[in-house]
Amino acid sequence: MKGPLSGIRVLDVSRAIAGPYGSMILADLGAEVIKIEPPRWGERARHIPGPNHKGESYYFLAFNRNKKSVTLNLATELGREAFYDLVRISDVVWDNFRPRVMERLGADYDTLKEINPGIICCSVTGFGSSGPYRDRPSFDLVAQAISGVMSITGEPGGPPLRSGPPVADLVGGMFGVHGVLAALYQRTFTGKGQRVETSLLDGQVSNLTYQMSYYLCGGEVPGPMGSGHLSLVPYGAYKAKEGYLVMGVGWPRVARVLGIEEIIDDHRFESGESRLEHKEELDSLVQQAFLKEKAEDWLAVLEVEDIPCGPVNAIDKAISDPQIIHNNMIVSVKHPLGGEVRMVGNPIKMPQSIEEEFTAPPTLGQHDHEILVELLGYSEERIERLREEEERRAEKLLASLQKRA
Amino acid sequence: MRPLEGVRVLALERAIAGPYGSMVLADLGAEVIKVEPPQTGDLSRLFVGPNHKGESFYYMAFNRGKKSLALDINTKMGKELFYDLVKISDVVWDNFSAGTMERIGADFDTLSRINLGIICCSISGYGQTGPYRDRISFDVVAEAISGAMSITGEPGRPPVRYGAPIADEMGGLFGAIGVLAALAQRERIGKGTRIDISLLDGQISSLAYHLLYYFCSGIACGPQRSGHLSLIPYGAYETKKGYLAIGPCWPRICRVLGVEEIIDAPRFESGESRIEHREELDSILQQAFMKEKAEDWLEVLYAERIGAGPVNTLDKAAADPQVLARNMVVEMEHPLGGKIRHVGNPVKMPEIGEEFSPPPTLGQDSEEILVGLMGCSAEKIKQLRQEEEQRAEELLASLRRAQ
Repeated sequence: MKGPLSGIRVLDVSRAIAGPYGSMILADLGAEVIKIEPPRWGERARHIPGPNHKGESYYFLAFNRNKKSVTLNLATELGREAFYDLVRISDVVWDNFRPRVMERLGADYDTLKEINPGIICCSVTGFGSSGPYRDRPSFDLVAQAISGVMSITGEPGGPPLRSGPPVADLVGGMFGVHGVLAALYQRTFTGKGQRVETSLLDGQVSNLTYQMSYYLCGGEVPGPMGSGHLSLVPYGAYKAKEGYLVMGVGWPRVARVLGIEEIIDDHRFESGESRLEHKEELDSLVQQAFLKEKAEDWLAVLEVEDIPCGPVNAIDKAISDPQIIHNNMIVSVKHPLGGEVRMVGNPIKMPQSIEEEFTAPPTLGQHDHEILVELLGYSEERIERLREEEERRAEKLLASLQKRA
Repeated sequence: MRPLEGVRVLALERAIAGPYGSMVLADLGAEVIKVEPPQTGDLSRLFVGPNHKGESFYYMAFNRGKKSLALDINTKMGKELFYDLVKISDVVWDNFSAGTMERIGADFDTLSRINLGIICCSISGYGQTGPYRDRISFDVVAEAISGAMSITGEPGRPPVRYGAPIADEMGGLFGAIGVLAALAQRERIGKGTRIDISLLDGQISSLAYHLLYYFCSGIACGPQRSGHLSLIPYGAYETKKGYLAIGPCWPRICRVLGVEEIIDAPRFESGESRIEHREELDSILQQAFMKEKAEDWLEVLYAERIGAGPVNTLDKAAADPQVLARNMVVEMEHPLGGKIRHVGNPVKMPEIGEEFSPPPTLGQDSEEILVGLMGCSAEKIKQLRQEEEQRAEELLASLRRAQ
């Protein structure tokens, strides 16, 4: 795989979204990402109910393209040995377990740096590896709730809502990528790896940026704003005769477009401050005017006036949008089980460095042979012993589960 | 030592997407020089609302850890100085509309002739190519066009946006990732590269699983409230007092809520069947949650090791013990006096300490950069400022004529 990270090998033991999304970014940039999955079951996202391609769940497909899959159980002795052999020839170990799971597996930074001093270990956790909530389970929604982001999402008086996309997971994965890349850069000077961590909660607090700053500077707590803005009006989604559109930051031109130029000189609307003070009145005048024509007709005029605007697309509409298609943000790849799978593309465009080539999310253990035999040079006999040990462990676990039930 | 120490970034940026991404680079140790128009500075300095000694909350939020150089690169001397800076810098970072950097002679092709190692990252609304490249965009437009807005909110209600300016922020975060990858590549090949990020692309990327759901089934999902496409229970529930959020916890949640009789109901036995009977299950859980206050439920949920939390308002969040323990609200002295509180850095590298400096006042570091770094004489700086003054007056005069 070409790309700025070609030659970098990442051992990815992550699951669900935050980890896999981040390691997919590394893969899109050219890193060789080896996804290490538990034998038999694989990563848990493979088992999320819903639509699928030949049995591979939509959830798993979404976050795992451009990776290789090797099955290994780190809790068995031979499995751990194989993992250590991989660590010797890799650059990054990437996980999103709860704190201390990696220690229990013997795969924490302090252990691994003895095997490979250049190794970079990145953990994306719910709350971080320290602090009072460290051991609590978390996930996207909990981070959105505790951080306060949910309290400013939705309509005033309505129930708290979350972002449609799983933003806490995604941003957590992205901050992990920042840490890994910065550590790789630093390693070219120091020769040494280091530990990197980030948490979903930290990422969400970081996303609060200006709303948090509004509170920290002024002491006033922002609430939900629908589709509006703390400091700008008009701004947001408005209903047209047919469909919704969004627009903003076009005063006073938008008043002319809407045929309500008489309000431009109204002293209530003359400055940013005064418009904010009379937000409800102005918003309702603007809203009323938008109801006169269809969204698409308004958009044609707003575009000519250079006012930022767009349709509120449903996602099936979005994927046929000419700019989205032009940017190669919807890509189609051949799947090893047959047929083609469509998925979202790579938003990081580096025209000189990245040729956009994508491979399908791997089937479970698709690259076992390539990794264990070709890369590590293991004999068939050794692999057989490894599988036997895994099998025995799986049966023991099953038996103890049955006893408990 | 921080990982990007020694990396110099020239940031021609304003508002959110650019400044947020370059703040990530600053937090990682890069020297970020914010090159601002001398008269106004970054437009976000002028935002209405709360402020610290006249520095707006909006500006403050995205500019910690940077230096400010007031320089008009549209004057002849200003451009020369900018090119001199490019010679000794690693990254030129902008979030202008597509085509602007070419127009001002600051595009990758021009700059890489001055410095072969330079990395140019542009963050725009739609990208540097394609049918919309010349249109104006910003956060909410990218959320709308991408479809992200269509899955946020409640069915039958108007579209809402995510509280945080996520399209801007993800654009900035992808830009920082591109820069970091290009820096790593430059160590190998000795050359810089061009990076082209758009807010729209970032939003499409964020829709990964919702789009795969659509591609695999042909069903375009609608607004998700606080719930999940494939998991239930999951979401925010109202209690006797306050809301709380919970995640995957079947069947334990039934025991906690005292509704264990529904565990064996065939309509709730599998993930698929629970989704099929989502409304009924949600309403049973919602009713049960109404019996106690959020804080009382949360104690039990934590004891049961169920992923859960209160739906905090921002004042609560800023005082949350975990947020504080992780140094995510930091306090610093401001150059105009007094202290400000700021949001911390989510990228923790425990081997490295955390240091933060406040968002700079306009031109705060001009002298350090022009004299200390570039070796400009007092005479040269005087000329530079005069030329800027002239240009500003000419612009003003032509604006008056146009009116």
